Amino acid sequence: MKHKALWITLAVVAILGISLFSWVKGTYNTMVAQDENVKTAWSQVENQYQRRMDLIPNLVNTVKGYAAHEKETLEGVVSARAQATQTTIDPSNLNEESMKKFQAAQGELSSALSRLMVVLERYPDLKANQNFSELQAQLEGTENRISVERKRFNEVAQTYNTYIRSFPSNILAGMFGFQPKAYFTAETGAEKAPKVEF
Amino acid sequence: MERMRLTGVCRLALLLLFPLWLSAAASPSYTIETIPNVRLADRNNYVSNPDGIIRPDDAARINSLLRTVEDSLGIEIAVVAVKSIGDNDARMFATDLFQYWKPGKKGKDNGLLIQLVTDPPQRSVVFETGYGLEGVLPDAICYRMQQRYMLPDFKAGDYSAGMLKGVEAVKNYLMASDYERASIIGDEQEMDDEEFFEIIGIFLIIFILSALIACLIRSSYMHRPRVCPRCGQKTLVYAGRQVLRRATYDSEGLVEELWRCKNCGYTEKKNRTTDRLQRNDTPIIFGNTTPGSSWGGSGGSWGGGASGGGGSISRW
Repeated sequence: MKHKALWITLAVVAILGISLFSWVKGTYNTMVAQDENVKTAWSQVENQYQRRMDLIPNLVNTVKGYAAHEKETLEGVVSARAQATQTTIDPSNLNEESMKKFQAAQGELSSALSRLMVVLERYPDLKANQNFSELQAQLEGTENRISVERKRFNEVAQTYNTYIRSFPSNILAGMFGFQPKAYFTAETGAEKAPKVEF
Repeated sequence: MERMRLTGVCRLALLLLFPLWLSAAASPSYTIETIPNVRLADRNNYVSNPDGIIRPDDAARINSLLRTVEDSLGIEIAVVAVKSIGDNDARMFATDLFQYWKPGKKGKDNGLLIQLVTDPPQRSVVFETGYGLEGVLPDAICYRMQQRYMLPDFKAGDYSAGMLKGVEAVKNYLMASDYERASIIGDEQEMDDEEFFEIIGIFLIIFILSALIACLIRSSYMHRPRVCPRCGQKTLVYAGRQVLRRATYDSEGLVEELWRCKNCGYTEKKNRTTDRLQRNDTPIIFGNTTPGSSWGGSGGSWGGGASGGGGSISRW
C-alpha cells in the first residue's frame, strides 16, 4: 500500500519533470532561433550600410575632377564616412544606446551625402558624366536597400521582442539573459535618402 | 417597336453612365493590391497593363521575350505599366509590389520587376531586382539600360515602344550574361506541385511492388511442396485451384486446392478460405497522382522570389 503511493508520487514527479523539461527546451530553443534571426537581419543591415560606404571613395574621386571648389563638402562626406566606419555594433549587444550611436553616425553620413548632392546641382558637366550618374544610381539603390533591410530588421526584432516579453517565455528570457533588441527609428530628415532630382 | 424602345432606354442608360464610367477609368490610382496580377490567370502573361499603355502587339512581343528568358534562365520578369499610383513613392512602390507578387524562383530570388508610371507626380520607370539578380544586374546596369533604351521613347511619349525596347535590352543582356543556365543547375520550375506528386508516386510504386512481392512470397510459401502421405517423399505439389465461393466485402471466400504427388500420383483436395475483399482506396489515390500537372494548366503564379530593394529608378 505504501509502495503504491510512493510509485504514484514518483510517476507524477517524473511526468512533471518531463513536461517542464520539454517546455524549457522548446522556449529556449525558440529564443535562440529568433535571436539568430535578429543577428542575420542585422548583418544584412550592416552589409547595406557597408555597401554605401564602399561607394563613397569612388564618388568622391569622380566628383573631385569636376567640382574641386567643393572641397569642404567633400571633406565633410569623407570624415562622416570615417566616423561611420568606426561605429559598429556587436550584434549580441543591440541595445538602445549602441543603436542610437550607430544611427547617429550613419545619419551624419546621410546628411553629408545629401549636402554634397545639393551642391553638385551646380555642375552640369558632372551631371552629364555617365560614370557619375551611374554612381548616383548605385547610391540611390543602396539607400533603398538600406531602408528595406532596416524594415526587415525591425520586423524580425519585433517578433523576437514580443516573444521574450510575453508570458511565460519572459521568465526563461530573464533567467537566460535574453535582452530585448532596439529598433531602428525613423529620424527626422537625417536618415532620409538623399533625393536628388535632375 | 418594343425592341426599339428598349434599345433607346439602354442607350439612355449608357449615356448617363458613360461619364461616370469614364471618370472612374480616367486615372485610377493603383495600390499594390489593385494592380492586376495577370500571371495568376495565364502563366504566359507577364505584362500587367490595366490602362492599356502598352499596345497589344508590343505586349505580345514582350511576353514572348520574357517567356524565352524564363525558359532558358529561369528568371521571372514582371512588367507593370500604369498611369498613376497616387502619392506613393515609385521606388518604394516597386519594392512593395515585388514583395507582394514575389517574382523569381523561391530560394534563387531571380525575379525582376519593371514598373512604368506615366502620370507626372511619380512619372518614372523602375527596375526592382531580386536578391539573386543583384550580381548579374547591378544598379548601374539597370540605370544605363533605362537611360539608353527607354527614356528616349518615353520622353517622346511613346511608352509602348520604350517598354518593348527596354525589355529587349534586358533580355539581350541577361542572355549574354554569365547567369547560370537553368538547364545546368536543374530547372526547378514546377517543383512545388509536380515534384511532390512525383515523390508520392514513387512511394506508391515502391509500396505496391513490396506488397506484390509479399504476396508472391506468401503464395509460394503456402504452395511449397509437402510430404506425400502415401509415399513419404516431399513431392506433393500444388496443382491448381477451384473457386467454390467468391470472397465478398462481407464474407470470406472458399477455394478448393488440388495437390498432386509427382512421385506416386496421389491427389489431395484441400479447402482454404480466402480473405474478405478490402475496400481499397488505392485507385482513387492513383487518380490524384496522375493529373499533378493539372495545376500547371493555364494559370500560374510567380515563384516566390525575394528582393532586397536593389535596382534603379529613372525619372524624366
